[in-house]
Parts: sequence; structure tokens; C-alpha cells
Amino acid sequence: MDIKSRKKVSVKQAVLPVKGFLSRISLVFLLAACIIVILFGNAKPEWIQSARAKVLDVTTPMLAVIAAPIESYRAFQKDLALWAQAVDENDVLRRKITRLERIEQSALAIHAENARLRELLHYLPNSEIIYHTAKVVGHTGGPYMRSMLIASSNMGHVSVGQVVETEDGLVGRIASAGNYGAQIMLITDSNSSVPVIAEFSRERALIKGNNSPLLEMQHLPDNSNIRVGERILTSGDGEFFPVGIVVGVVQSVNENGVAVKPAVDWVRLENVLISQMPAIETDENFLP
Amino acid sequence: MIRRQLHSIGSGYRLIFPAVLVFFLLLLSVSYIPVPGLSSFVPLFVAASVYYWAIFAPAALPRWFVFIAGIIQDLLYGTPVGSTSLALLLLWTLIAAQRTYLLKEPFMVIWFLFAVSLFLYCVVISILYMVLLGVGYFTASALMQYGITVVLYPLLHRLFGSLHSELFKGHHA
Repeated sequence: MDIKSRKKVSVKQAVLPVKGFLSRISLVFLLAACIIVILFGNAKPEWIQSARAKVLDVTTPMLAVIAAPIESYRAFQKDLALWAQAVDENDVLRRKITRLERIEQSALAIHAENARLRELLHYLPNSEIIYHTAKVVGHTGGPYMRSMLIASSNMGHVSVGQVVETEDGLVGRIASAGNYGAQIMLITDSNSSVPVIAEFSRERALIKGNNSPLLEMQHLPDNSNIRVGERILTSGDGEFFPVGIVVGVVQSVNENGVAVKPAVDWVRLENVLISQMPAIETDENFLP
Repeated sequence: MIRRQLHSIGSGYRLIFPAVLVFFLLLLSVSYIPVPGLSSFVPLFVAASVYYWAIFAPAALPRWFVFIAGIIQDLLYGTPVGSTSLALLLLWTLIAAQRTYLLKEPFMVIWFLFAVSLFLYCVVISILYMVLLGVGYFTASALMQYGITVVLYPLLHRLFGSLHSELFKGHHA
């Protein structure tokens, strides 16, 4: 072995303990960084929200690309099924149109009467809720959380806390929002809590998620008259959920409590509506 | 010269490939699959790939990347940020420390140790969620997710193995 190679070996040997030390230091540094990030997340959740929004902006377009083949396949399946049903449906729809035209006439009369009565009562109508649509691109959370990722080309108007629904019923609330993607905390998540009212028994309660497919009804009175099959709607109590959105249907009533099946079919969920509540204007004359 | 440049680009790709694969698996685990209840049982792809690369090419999946992958996963899942990084780093360190022994062992031993180390990973995650969220106990769906990942590991191992041997032919990671 010549002097040069001997020198190389000795340098390598000399560097080894330093390398090992640096490696140990980097491990300690990264573990400490994890703990700092966890503590930081608890202390400054708004910073984590903004980081989450940035990650969603980058990943949701990629998820939309990954989901594209599944979407195309589903659309193709749906088209096939629609073609098969089209002839029968056409006949049914014609009859429906005739019936609806009659209903429309009576609805117009009711509408005019309603407007007259409102005028008499000096009624101040609520501002309209504005809806924005978005596409479901991902499911996240695993066994411990229930959330979904949605994407849209324009998410600028979407903000944390807004209510998400479909034509079937309530989906959840926006947990974090970026410019192109957002995360929804589903009503089945264990952190979700919705003030509700039963459609017929008119009993008020809270619907809680527990990371399972069914929802739990809590804070019902002991002599509750709630029945299986009854629809559960949002009560409008609290500041987040507007009144009258279908949450689900009572599936079972027993000593363990009241279980509610969500109205939304999570598997067929493709598009959602994000409702933008109107800004509440307070009249200074009514303030104490 | 061009050939040398191409070769150097190739080496770069080889080095970042495991990281790209982990990121792709991360996206795959949150992508929308219209099968009822599947989102709760999606295999722990990231933990499986960290286990594989920690044994067979730890330099190709460095600790700092494991840390970043965990942070991205937490940000995407809505789980407490930093918790997955902590669990993944502990898994990586535990396995990388045993790699000289594991490299000589047959696949059955590697699979068995995967089941054991993934269980420890799930326990760490579970404790962290229990402390930070109050929901971290070992639920039925968490056990199901663990079981599915362990059952699928031979398939993932084979996939990672063939990619590994193709990419690192004649190279040391």
C-alpha cells in the first residue's frame, strides 16, 4: 500500500466517528424539531392552517389528476345506466311535467299571497345563501379522523368554518382552505358536533360523529319520543349551520342511545356545495 | 461528455426516486377511491416504504426527507402536525440501526419484523393522538388498517425490490 492510499484510509477512518456523531446529532435535531412542531401547532394553530392551505393548493390538483381515470370510468358507467333508463324515464317525466305545471300555478298564487302578507307584517327577509361547487378529490384522515379533500379552480371565497352540503344533506364544514383546494371535516368525524332538531317529534339535540359510519344523538331528553325513520335536520342553533339541512335518518333507538345514518352517500359523493352565509347586519337600535 | 452528463442526471434520478415514490404513495393513500369505508383502511404505504428503504438503501431516503414526508402527511390528513414525522423517524432509526443484521435475514424474518415494528409505529401514533386529540386508542379500523398493511407488505416489498434492483444496478445507495 503506498503513502497516498494509506493517507486516504486514515482520513476516512478519522472522519468516521465525526460522521457518526453528526448523524446522531441530526437525529436528535429532527426529533426535537418534531416535538417543537407539535407544540407550535397547539400554540399557533393559525400558522399550521396557513401551511395546510399551501400544501392543499399544491396537492389537490395532483389528486384531481390521479382521480381522473376513476371519474371517467364512473361517468361512463353512469352514462350507460342513463341510456338504459332514458326511455322509461321520458314517459314518467312527461306525466310529471303536466302535474308540475299545475303545482307551479298554485305555487305562484301562494307566492303572491305570501308577498302580500309579508308586506302587511313589514317582514325583513333573510339574505340569500350563496353556493359554490367543488369536486371531491380525496379522502383523508385514516382511522382516527374523517375528512375529505375538495378542489376547485376558484376557492378564494371559501373560508374555514363554511358549511358543506349536497342535494342529499349535510356533509360537514371546511377545516382548512387554500386557493385551489380545501379540507372538509365530515359530520362523522369525532370532533364534529351539529345542533339538530327531529322533523316530527321536534326534539332538539346535538349530533356527534365518532369516526364510524353512524352518528350519535346526544343531549336528548329522557322522555324522548324520537322514532326510527324520523329525519334529523339542522336546528340553526349556534353560529355555523343554517336551519333545515337534512343531516340523516334515525336508524336505531335503544338503551345505548339514538343512532343516525347520514343522509349523504359518501361513496357516490362527487361534487359538493359550499354555502356562504350572508353577513349578519346588526341594527344598532336593537342593541341594549 | 454528453454521456457523462446523462449519467450524472441518471444518478440524480436514482437518488431522488425513493423520495418521489414516498410522495406518490402519500398522494395515493389520500386519493379518492369510491369503495365504501376504504378510506379508513388505506394501507400505511409511507410507513411500509420507510421500513423497506431504511433496510436496503437508507441513504436514498434520508432522515430529513422522512421528517418532511411526515409533516406533509399530517398537513394533508388534518392530524396533529409533527406526530407522523416523529413516529416515522423512530421507525426509520430503529430499522436502520438493525440493517446490517436484517440484510442477511430471509424474507420471512423481514416480514415478521415489519409486523412488529409497524405495530410499535401504530402504538406511538395512537399514544400521540390520544394525548393531542383525545381519540387515539386502537380502534377496530386502526387494527384493520394495520392488518391490511402487514398482509400487503410482501407485495410492496416485491415492488420496492424490483424498482430498487433496476435503479441501483451496479450502484451503492
